[in-house]
Amino acid sequence: MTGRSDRHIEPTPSAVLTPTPLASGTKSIEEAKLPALPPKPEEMSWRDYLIMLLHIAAELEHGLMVEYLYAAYSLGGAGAAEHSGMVTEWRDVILTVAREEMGHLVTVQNLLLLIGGPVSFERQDFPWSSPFYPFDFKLEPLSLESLACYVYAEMPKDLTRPVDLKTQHDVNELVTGDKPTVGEIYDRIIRLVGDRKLIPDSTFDPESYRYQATWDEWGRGYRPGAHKPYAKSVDTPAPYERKTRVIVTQMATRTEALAALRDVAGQGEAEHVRATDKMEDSHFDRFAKIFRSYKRIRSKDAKWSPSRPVPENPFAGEARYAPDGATAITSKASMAWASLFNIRYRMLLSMLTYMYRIPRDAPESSHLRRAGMLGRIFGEMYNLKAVAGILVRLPLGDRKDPARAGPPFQMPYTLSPPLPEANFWRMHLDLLGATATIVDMLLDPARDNLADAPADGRRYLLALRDADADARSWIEEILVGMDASRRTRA
Amino acid sequence: MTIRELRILPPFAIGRLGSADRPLDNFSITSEQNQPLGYRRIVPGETLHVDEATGEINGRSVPASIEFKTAEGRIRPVAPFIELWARIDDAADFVPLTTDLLAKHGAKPSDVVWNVTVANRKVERRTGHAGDRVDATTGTFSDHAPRTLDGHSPHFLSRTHTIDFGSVRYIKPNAAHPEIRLRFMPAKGLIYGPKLTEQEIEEMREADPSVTNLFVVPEKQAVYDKTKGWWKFSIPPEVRNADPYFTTFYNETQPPALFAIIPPGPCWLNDNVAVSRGYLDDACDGTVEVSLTPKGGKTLKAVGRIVAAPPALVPDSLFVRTLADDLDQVIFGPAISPDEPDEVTRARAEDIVRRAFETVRFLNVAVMNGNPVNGRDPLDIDTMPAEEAFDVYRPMRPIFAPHSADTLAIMALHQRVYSAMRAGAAPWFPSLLRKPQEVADFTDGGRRKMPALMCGADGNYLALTHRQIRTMYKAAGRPLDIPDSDITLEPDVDPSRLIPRNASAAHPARRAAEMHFVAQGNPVSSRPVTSIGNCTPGLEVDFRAVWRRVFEGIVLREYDNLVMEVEHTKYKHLVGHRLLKVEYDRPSVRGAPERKSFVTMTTQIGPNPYDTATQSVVLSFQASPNGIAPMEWSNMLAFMLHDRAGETVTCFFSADDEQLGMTGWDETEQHIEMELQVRQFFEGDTGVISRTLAQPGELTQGLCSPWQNDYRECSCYYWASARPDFINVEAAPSGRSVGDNWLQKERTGEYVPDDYADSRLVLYDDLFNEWEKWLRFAIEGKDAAGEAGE
Repeated sequence: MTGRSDRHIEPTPSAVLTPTPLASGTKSIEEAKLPALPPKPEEMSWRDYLIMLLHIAAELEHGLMVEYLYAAYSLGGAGAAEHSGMVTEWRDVILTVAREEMGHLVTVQNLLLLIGGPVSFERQDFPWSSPFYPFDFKLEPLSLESLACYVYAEMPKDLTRPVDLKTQHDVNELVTGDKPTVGEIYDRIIRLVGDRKLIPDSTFDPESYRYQATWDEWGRGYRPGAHKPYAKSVDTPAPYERKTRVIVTQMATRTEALAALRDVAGQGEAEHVRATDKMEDSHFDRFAKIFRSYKRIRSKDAKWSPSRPVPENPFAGEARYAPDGATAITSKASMAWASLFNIRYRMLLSMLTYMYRIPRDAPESSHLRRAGMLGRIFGEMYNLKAVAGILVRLPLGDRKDPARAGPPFQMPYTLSPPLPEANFWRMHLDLLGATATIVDMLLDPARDNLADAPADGRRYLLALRDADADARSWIEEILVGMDASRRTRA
Repeated sequence: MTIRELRILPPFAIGRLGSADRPLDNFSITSEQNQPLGYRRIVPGETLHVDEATGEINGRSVPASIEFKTAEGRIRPVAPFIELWARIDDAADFVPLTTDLLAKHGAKPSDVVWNVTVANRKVERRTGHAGDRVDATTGTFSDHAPRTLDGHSPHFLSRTHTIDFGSVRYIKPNAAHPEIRLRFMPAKGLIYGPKLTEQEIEEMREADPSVTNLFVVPEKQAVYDKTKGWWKFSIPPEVRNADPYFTTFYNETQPPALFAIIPPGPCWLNDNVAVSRGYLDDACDGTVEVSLTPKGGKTLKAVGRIVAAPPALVPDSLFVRTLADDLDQVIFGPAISPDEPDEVTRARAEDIVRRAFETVRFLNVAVMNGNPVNGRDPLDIDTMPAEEAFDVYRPMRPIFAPHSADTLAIMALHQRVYSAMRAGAAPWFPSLLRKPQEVADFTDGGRRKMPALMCGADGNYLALTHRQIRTMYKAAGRPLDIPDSDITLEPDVDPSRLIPRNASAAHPARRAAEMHFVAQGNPVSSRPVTSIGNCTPGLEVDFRAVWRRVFEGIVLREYDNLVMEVEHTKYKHLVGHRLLKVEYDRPSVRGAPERKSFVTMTTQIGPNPYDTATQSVVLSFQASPNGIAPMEWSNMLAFMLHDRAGETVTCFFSADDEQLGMTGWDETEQHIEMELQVRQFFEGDTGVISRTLAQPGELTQGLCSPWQNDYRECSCYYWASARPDFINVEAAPSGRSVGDNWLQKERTGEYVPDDYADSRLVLYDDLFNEWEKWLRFAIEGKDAAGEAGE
């Protein structure tokens, strides 16, 4: 499947319009090294085009994050038990990368706000393809081949270390992409943002700062600690106890935007723009290490796999509607869990989208809803982690079949928040109601729906029901405050 | 058949004060299976009824519900039973000692000889006068009459003037209840003090006209001779101001003062002037000793400890770090055995997170975060960030982004974490837990570690025990597939059930089983699991005091590693010097022992204004040029105690007297090096905290005098689920959490920020006059029935 933006990626100029010349004299040394911009699509202004590119970048980051999450959740089973410590570490590394992709996604939204664009957490359903990613996006269990794709996609342009060149060689034996990597879209964005003529200063709206996501809200400690006092230089390695650095950058100016973009791009997909080698390992480095370890084991045991038998692109819905490349979950109980997962994913994405409408310094009546929403956004991430952990232990179809289910990460039909705000909260009451129906059905002893689930399944559902009751009370109270409760209850 | 050993079980029993005649019935708390995020359910238990006349148990029943406070407003005291158990012949296990068992050994109940000794040394700890110690002992007894614990001090007006510390009674065994047991009935929670003239009382009233209900010590409680030093005792304000030019050493407590002062209070908002009202309380701690000489056998002895503490006012919640956590760390060591089954580690990890949200929900997170309240300066409100600002002489900063701090939001987040863990997700956040050596990291990154917003025993931010932290790390690193399990830890679960039963673990397992022993008829609030741990100073006990004599030969001040006394003249030169570093050889699995060391002082660091995220600075100020701060001992000593108890370690002391200054370890400086022996924490193989480490009265000597004062002064960030801040919490239409300050008199749903002069709040003299009225029980996060206030 291709995306709606694809036709604008390499436009052919019409006879009446010539490509807009790029401004000169505003480029930094790094920007001068970047490839030239292709012609601007004639349907768009440069600002509009930049917004579109940022939407594509957001979609790519979102897609990568979910792919990595799925790969991490897939780990387990007999093969993983054989190399337990190592595979557990892989899981942590992959989840760390996913967490950093989340930071990228949030930072891209901040830039969208800065230039007056709408935030976007939209993406296509799996499987899909993008002009800026060499492979199809798909959810799949971690395998040597999928790892090779991750390594390839995150590979810097100019490798020099022998170990990296060897990895490149090994990866190329397994996969070859025929399209650019994610880094290229950041090249275009950086080029464009850096050009004062195409994107004039007036584009940048410092007022958006108060709406942007902050490290304080999002970071959760996932970055190096402060250097010890009297550190001789800030280049001294920081205490990287978390082995991660989630980037959440606010920006009010072009300069800050460029710095944030370089940071985001350099962390993963565009090694050549990294500010310093003293930063954390790049995503390429981290995936390459896992790839090499995996390859060593595979050289001794060709059938070894660290993953459970989870499907590619699990699909919660009638099998006949499953797109090509998707795998329908046919066990009824597993399908209920998958639907539960999709509901909570929708809650997460809708709250993410809406949060950017509430400034941090708004009157108490609304900024506290940002606090409540933030807590719930992270809470939904934990719910997804929980339900995914159950799904990969449930049958895909027949309970005797070793094939397991997996978290489908299916997109809702829309992420456009209903307005006014009361309707947004009504939607969440609806989603809590849908959750309650599934939870009650799963817990109903008469239906025996938990027969294939681990004891964890029941323990979790009881807690979820309890937590959702509190969430419902909270929302109902908010609706009272909006003088909208009567209509809700009706 | 021979009785080989005796045991008093539990070895540490907590009585709780109250003036009701009838003690609190037995109850436990348990999780609601269908509401795992809710409050723990209070489950009435089988209650033993003691016949006042005979001292026998004349019945037992399970009450329909638990009445914590009588209709007349009197709190029912917790009066724990203490059972005597025996080990027969070569049996591994102990069994209850009964009349039958005694008879089989040619003994009768009257051959069991008890002796109970308790003390209150709070005043002695402040004044430094041994004459201010209040001691009580029953002497030996074997009959079944109540034995009063009449506390007396040489500084009382006469020999007949005493403090009633309650009583003990050897329960008379009978056919239905043949077990040998003793019951401790703690006191009523009265305040004692000096006998003053009307004029002296009037002068106190005049000191602060806003105090309209000044507590006057009743005649029968006016026992203290006002000329003996406690009345109007004070330490110069310069000490509390850390005035670098003040050159006289005072053995101040930490926090300072910690006693009822002549108004206005508190001292830190009133030029640090703290002049004592001369109050004492009837809390105490001590030992129960028992001996038995079976016919033809040698005399057998056992000992246990008792403590009288304030009531557990939030009986359905447990604190995130309890005394049980600290004791378990001593018993099992700070590390987690790799043999511990993953499902057990997981259950313990879940339990910690559960207790975390049980703690958070009693904090007004927005206020405790340091946010302004209704436009008021947050520095005026007693919170941990305010405390930090005062301590390091820096402007106050909220801990988290102010707009993100809200009780229900943060609690919901904790609950989702707990839910995910119940689903089998391994903890993903151990690196966000504050490590014990990071407690004085006041950078934003440091302050936001968990547990947040709360204070530990060293006055810095609270850390969990090493053992709790390592539990979380082990749970995080567990294999991806673990056996399916359904364990929810409850306070009544015998911990030995959760401990691997291999040979090496058997010994600590038994000790833990003793420590957490559930005696028949005892409510859960009599056990260490309901006692807050790691606090400054604490509530039930000041656990810091237990470490003062851990190095044989020296006695340290309970909070800053300063040598105060020595046990032998050969150590005399150490008095006034500070223990800075300890080194020892630790057995290594690889063969050759490895040299371990730890320092006792840390450096307070804060954000560097140049770049607050990545750089830090030492938070020095005139009186603390190196920004040095002590670290609490329970964690600091944990590895040494585990590795070297009973053996020697190398201690390094400051070369200079440090009574007036404070330095940290600097290897370029000269030090005094001494080999000192590390004492055993427990007596023999029992669960009894060594009497050498802490004598009667010492486990409570650091607590406030009277303890009621502490409920006014120590805000909830020390002990949220024991002394709540925020109750009756619900969502407001704005989405904000609203509720009452636990200490506000009238419940309005509008939180009244802490203010020592706001008459809407319970103030010092309200507590001194009517503490049983104003300390209100909270059940399910709300005022218990009949507790709504004015």
